[in-house]
Amino acid sequence: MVSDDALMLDFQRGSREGFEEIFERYRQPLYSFFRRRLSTSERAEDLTQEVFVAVIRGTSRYEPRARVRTYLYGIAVNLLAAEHRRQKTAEIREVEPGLASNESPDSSIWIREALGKLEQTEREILMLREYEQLSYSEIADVLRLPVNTVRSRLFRSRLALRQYLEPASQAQERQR
Amino acid sequence: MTEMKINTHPVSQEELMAYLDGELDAERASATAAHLEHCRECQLLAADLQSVARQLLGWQVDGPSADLDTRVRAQLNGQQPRKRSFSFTGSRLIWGGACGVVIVVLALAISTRNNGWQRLNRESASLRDVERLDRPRAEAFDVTGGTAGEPGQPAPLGVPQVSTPQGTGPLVVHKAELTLTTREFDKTRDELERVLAIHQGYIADLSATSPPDSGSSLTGTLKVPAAQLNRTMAALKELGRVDRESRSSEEVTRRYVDMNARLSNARNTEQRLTQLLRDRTGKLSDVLAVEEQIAHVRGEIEVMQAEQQVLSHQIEFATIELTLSEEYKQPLTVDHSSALTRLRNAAIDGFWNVAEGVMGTALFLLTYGPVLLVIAGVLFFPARYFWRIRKPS
Repeated sequence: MVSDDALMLDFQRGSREGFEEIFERYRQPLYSFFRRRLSTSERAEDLTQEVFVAVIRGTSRYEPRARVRTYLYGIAVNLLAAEHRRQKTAEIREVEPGLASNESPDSSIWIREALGKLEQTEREILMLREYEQLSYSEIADVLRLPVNTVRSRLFRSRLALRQYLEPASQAQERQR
Repeated sequence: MTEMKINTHPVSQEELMAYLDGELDAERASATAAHLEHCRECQLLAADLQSVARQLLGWQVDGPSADLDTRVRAQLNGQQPRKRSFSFTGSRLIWGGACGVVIVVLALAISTRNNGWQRLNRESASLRDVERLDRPRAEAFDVTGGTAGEPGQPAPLGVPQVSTPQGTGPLVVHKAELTLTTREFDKTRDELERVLAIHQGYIADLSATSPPDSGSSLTGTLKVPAAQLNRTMAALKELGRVDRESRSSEEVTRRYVDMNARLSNARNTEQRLTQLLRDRTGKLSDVLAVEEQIAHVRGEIEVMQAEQQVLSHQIEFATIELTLSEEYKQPLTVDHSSALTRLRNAAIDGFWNVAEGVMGTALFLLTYGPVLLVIAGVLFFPARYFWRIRKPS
């Protein structure tokens, strides 16, 4: 399989296929990233589009210093921050309402509520790790934090989340 | 949550978590693995961390619409991407208001027309219910535009061209039964083909019989676009005398939505597992387990896709079970032979009847005669004894 870096360099040299492949690989992950953090699927799609538009416009300036995945999620995090500033609403409200879930609604609500109780940066680290599958160093690059900080905060957030999810799992056990 | 004291363990809790995440170097990873094998406390902590990860998987989201692809590709082609969000400028407000007024007027007109239609058509209660369910889907499933291929040639079952119902309102599977009697069977059969061609229907199954001592008959399963069901039924009823007619409908909206949700969820799971396989380097057994899980999920997706296509087809095409019978007419047969010939034939028949009778009697006696003689011999002496006793001296 051709690496993301090679595809980006192909695209920089004018290969449309390079971009098409990058788009195919990251359209769903980036959309999911925004969808879990925004209240409407329309805004999630708009911002996903913005990421790829930024890639298209910034092709000439692209330098393979970091992994393409980090580059894309870095853009996504910046766009999300701008969106939050624009909306001027509390972060927790972005996580909670109107999130389309195909899983059991109960479990989804418990998870969203539990995540909403976490501190903002810890929640972001945890979600980047669990849902976007970013490594510690990639999270550190995207959020501009030291790797050790990422690791300790991730551990802290997991312990906290375990406690917040405890009532849900107990309720499920009782139902069984 | 499991608590453990760091000074009693050669690895820290964070290191244990990093090991589970595949973030430790080889040396620390092997040391952690060795410790984890026999440390009950660390095993509990690992189980807790893995449990959190598993529970988080319960929050899955849907995929982006195809519109995203169009917009991004338009941008790639140097076009201005369409954006959903827009501000209500003065001209847009005017156009929006005008469109709103037109929509309201159209809705009122349609509503008035429907009320009139309902007043005029007082059929049986069951048929009214079917009509009520049928009408909202008419627009959504109107395939006169040829969504399934060439006109009159709908795509067969299982072919991806079957369009997916995406309208609002209930999704309904329609079925009808019709029993007809006709005087001109062959002509009616030709008419049947013509009616199906007009309404973009097709014959899913057909069998015809023509026994010598009764009229021809035909039983078949017809498929017509759901929006064309009423018109097709009306046209079919013109083909002969209606002996029996029944209609039924089943709402499958919930089933369809559930199936879509399960399918979407399975796709997300597959994608997530594929991403996991792509990004993580772990033990060979873990990789194999993930690959096995991907194969399992792929199998489930394919089964669900097949079910979804079948259901879509059932929604899109109504089923008509048709029975067509011909009125049987006894044929008038005239014997053209002469009287002499008929007398001769009768005499021969008489002779053969006598011969058959004699032969039958002979066969009976030869077959059962011996048995009857034995029985008579056995019964003769007791009968004679009782006869003598009862006879007055």
